[in-house]
Amino acid sequence: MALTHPYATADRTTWQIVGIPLNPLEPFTALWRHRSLIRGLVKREIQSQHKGTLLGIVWLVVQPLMLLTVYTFVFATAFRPHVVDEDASKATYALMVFTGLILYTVFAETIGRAPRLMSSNKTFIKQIIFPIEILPAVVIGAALVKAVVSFVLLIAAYFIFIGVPTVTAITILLVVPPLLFLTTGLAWFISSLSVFIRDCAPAITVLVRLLLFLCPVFYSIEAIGYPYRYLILANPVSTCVILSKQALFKDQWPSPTHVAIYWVVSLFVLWFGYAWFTKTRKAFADVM
Amino acid sequence: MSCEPPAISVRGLTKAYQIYNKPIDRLKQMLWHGRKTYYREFLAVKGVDLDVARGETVGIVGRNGSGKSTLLKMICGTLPPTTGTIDVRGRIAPMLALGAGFNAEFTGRENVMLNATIFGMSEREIADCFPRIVEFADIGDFIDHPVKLYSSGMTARLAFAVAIHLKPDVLVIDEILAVGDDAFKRKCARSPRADQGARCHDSVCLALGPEDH
Ligand SMILES: Nc1ncnc2c1ncn2[C@@H]1O[C@H](COP(=O)(O)OP(=O)(O)O)[C@@H](O)[C@H]1O
Ligand SMILES: [Mg+2]
Repeated sequence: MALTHPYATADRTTWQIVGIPLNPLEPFTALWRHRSLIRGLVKREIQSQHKGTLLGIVWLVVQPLMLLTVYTFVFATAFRPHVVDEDASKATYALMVFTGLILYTVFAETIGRAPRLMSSNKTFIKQIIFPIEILPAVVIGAALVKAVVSFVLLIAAYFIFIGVPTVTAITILLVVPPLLFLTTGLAWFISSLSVFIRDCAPAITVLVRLLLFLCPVFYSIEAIGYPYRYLILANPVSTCVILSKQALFKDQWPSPTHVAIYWVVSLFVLWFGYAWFTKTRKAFADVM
Repeated sequence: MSCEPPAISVRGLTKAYQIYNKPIDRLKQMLWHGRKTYYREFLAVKGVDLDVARGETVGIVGRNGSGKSTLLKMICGTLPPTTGTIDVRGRIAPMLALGAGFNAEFTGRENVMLNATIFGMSEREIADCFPRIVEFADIGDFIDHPVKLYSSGMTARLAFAVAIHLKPDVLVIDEILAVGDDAFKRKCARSPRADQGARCHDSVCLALGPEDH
């Protein structure tokens, strides 16, 4: 796949073809087209995070392992807030927190990077021909690789402390993709908006911290009464965290309506983020 | 006289830079759809017609600020023109700024891989031409050191080595070769067709023909 102009058709290029993607599959085809480049950049992104460290790539496993140990210790022994699940054992509670954090971290890492994603890749925008729309996907891809490593450790700890997961655990595969769609869509939107509105960066930093507490990571959603529960459900990560915890720890199948709504909303956010990004990207060079 | 269409064909190309006081004005301009104007214009390139045939080399000469870089950016597709059309047949390798597309923290070797991937080469193709790129760049052990430790001449050597081995149909060079030393310029001169580029020291469009690879 050759890269010519950003709006190229085959190998002939004309600048007159500029449009908004109305096709809802467009975000997927755009990323699929550049899959080998995305794969290469994700690899590089992960390498660069451990560049110059003594342990190097080993940190990919050591870091979540240390976190898991710390969380299990802190939440299973020392500290236990009063708004937790009444019927959860201590070890279960610790692993539930870890589950929530894995999912939240994918969101937080991607969204936290989004405001500076374009300005830190200025040369890609101004000096070479590069499909900048893949940059959010690269960030989320790297976050996802780390999440998968953490998840494998989580399952290992699950076998040790709790036992064999119930069949409902497989519904994880149904509730995690919408989180990825939502996050990518928001990253497209935020990374573009921040080019024009520099205030996005500090605002997003605060928001990402705040949303962690508006997400049922440290507590269960049932412990929160209305109307505050709506506030928590408005957090894009919440649905995924709630349904994942239910599936992994409570032997509950997710409600099909909830899952359907989550998919529809997240696919819309994905498409909107992509459409906004494509519409505004040609103006990036004017203000960078 | 062949009737093959030109590799690069530019018609009525004009670039009026829009200068905004604040970045947010750019967004307002887009959302208001031109009902109000938030920018000042600066005309950098006006009405350029240009054809570059396959195998031809065109050097662009002019005073500082006369719009050479602007023209080349538009040809490469990194800058949208205000009016006019650009047709480019085939793949372009742009060398628009020193170190563009290089990540300073990574080694020369890693950057070669990165650039080749961005250009759309498969891993096999990269592995095939990698030794030739290293040999052409001729920067010794520094190929395994981070690019931030390179001199400008070394960065240019590596960038040029990558660009010509990607086998582009069109090579666009802006000023980059000027920082190379005489030995490197002589070497570029031995590389087919790139010789004109090395001599001009400035903005060049090379439309490479099949005999150049
Ligand atoms: N992003 C920009 N916004 C406004 N004016 C610009 C921008 N880039 C270049 N210019 C102006 O356009 C003119 C042409 O610049 P350039 O193409 O870089 O000239 P050169 O021929 O030296 O390469 C210069 O007067 C420069 O100030
Ligand atoms: Mg110039």
